[in-house]
Amino acid sequence: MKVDALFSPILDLKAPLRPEDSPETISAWDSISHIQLILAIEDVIDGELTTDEVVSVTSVSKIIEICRARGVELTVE
Amino acid sequence: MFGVFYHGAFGQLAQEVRDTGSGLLRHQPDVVVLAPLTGVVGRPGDFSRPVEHIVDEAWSHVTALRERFNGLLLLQNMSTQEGRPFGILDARRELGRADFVRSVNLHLSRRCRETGLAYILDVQFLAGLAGAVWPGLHKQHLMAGRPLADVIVSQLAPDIAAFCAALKGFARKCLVVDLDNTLWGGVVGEEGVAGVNIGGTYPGNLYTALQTEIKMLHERGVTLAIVSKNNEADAWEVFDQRSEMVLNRADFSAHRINWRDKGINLRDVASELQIDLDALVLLDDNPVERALIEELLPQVEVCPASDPLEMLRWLTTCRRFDTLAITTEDALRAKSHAASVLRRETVSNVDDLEGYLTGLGTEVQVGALTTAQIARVAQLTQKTNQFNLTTRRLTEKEVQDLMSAPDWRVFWCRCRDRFADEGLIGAAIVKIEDASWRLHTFLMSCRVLGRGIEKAFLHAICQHAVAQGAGVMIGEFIRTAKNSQTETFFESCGFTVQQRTPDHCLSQLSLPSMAELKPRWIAMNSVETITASMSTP
Repeated sequence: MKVDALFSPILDLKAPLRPEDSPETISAWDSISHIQLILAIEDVIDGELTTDEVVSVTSVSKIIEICRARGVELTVE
Repeated sequence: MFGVFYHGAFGQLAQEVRDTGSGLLRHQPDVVVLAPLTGVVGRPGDFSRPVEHIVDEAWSHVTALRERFNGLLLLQNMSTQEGRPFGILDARRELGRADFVRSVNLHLSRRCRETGLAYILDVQFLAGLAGAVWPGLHKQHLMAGRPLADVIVSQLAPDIAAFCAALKGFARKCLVVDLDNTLWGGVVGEEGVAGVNIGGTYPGNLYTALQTEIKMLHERGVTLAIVSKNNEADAWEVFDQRSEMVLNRADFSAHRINWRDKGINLRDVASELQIDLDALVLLDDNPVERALIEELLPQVEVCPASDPLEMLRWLTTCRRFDTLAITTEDALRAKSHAASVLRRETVSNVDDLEGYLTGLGTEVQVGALTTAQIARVAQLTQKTNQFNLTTRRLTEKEVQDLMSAPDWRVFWCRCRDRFADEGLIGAAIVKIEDASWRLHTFLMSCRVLGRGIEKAFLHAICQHAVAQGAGVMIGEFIRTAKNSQTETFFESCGFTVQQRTPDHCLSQLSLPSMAELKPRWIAMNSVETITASMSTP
């Protein structure tokens, strides 16, 4: 699955996401969209994120890492 | 139904309901949902406070908002949460956590009931219905300060929607049922009267439970009808011979038991009952028939289930028939439909219309609103679609406020004939602007139409206006998808059009030169008492 497909219903993306993107580089990634992202990730992995995982959701690369550990491969453009 | 939503600022409930300039009040809502008790649970010390304090604090928001808001107010009660400091001994405490929540909620329900200021949005009940595994200890609560879990919200939302639908006149009025494999198990034409499954143990008890649910709907005012592909005689034999039947023939106001097309039969039933297709809900086990109706008559709401347990679940939780009040008229309605059948049969030998109408012996009574009629008048504004000149939906609170406003008058109309007492079936609201009286609302329940009662009602109001020194009555028509039959009503009563656009019309009647509007066949009942009740302020 493309990481953009996960993000685009939540964030208004101007360009394809890069692994280094984070709340600092994407202005629409605010506290509300962050929670929506957590829920979207839980949908994709079909399970609940642990507290440690939730806390580590700080960038696109971290999200890819968390999903990979749960057996879901996310790709960037 | 579409809504424009305003979400109050986080944690600002007290300010939103009290400050006239708040975002909430500037939004001018029709419906407000207050949730002062979410997030209360778990705050240190909350459970050591007396129940009354929590109730008073929550209620203070209701009364504060009521000073500035007349619409529909929903008060979300307190949700049960997981924490039990004494574990399984919770209920052995003087007031354990679970009982504490129940106690708060019982107090709130009672206040709503006694004051009429708000309706309870029962999150405690709905959380159970939602099967919420962790009502309080869910991630969004702790991560985002969002106290309600998604699963609970998905049960809360349909209740809020049902309140809005009831307020805006979208509540359904009639349940149409199939017979074979719907009211009973099996096909009567094949298995015979003794062979169909009803009563006793599983699965016959499912059909008993379904019929009991339907009976309850009927008793609170939902009209019932049968549309079924069957030999009519076979079908009635089940009603007559199987003592396990909960529903009986008299519960149904209309029936089409034949081999014709289901769509035609449904149209027939709607027109016989004088209701719109979008007032119907269909219960039918056959997916082919259901798909056909969804295609042909999309206005009809079709229960999506074939299995009797699924049908029962859907019917029990569908909320399609929910209204904001249950009135005496709801109980009278079933009798009224039965009476209209009798009326047609008895008077069908009379050739001319006037002879027919005279034979009915219609008596009409008109009066000024008192507290006793507030619920029914508000309900009529919410439910009446066809004979409704302006279709302005009002809450009980709004009606109550108009009752005591010096330049407003609210009138009601009752009628009965030799076949039935129809109860309170008409309402009118007038704004007084010096010598001209403007009809803000004028409506009549569709089941009494065609007998001139609406003209008798208007005439009584005009006469009263003359007695009060009014010179002109102004009528207003606002077009909706359903009220085209009222478009020329005021003109037919002698009003002159002043201003007309395709969707709106203002007309007026000069009262001193007014002609008699009341048809000859209607008797105005106890006019003296009406006049007396009208002149009370």
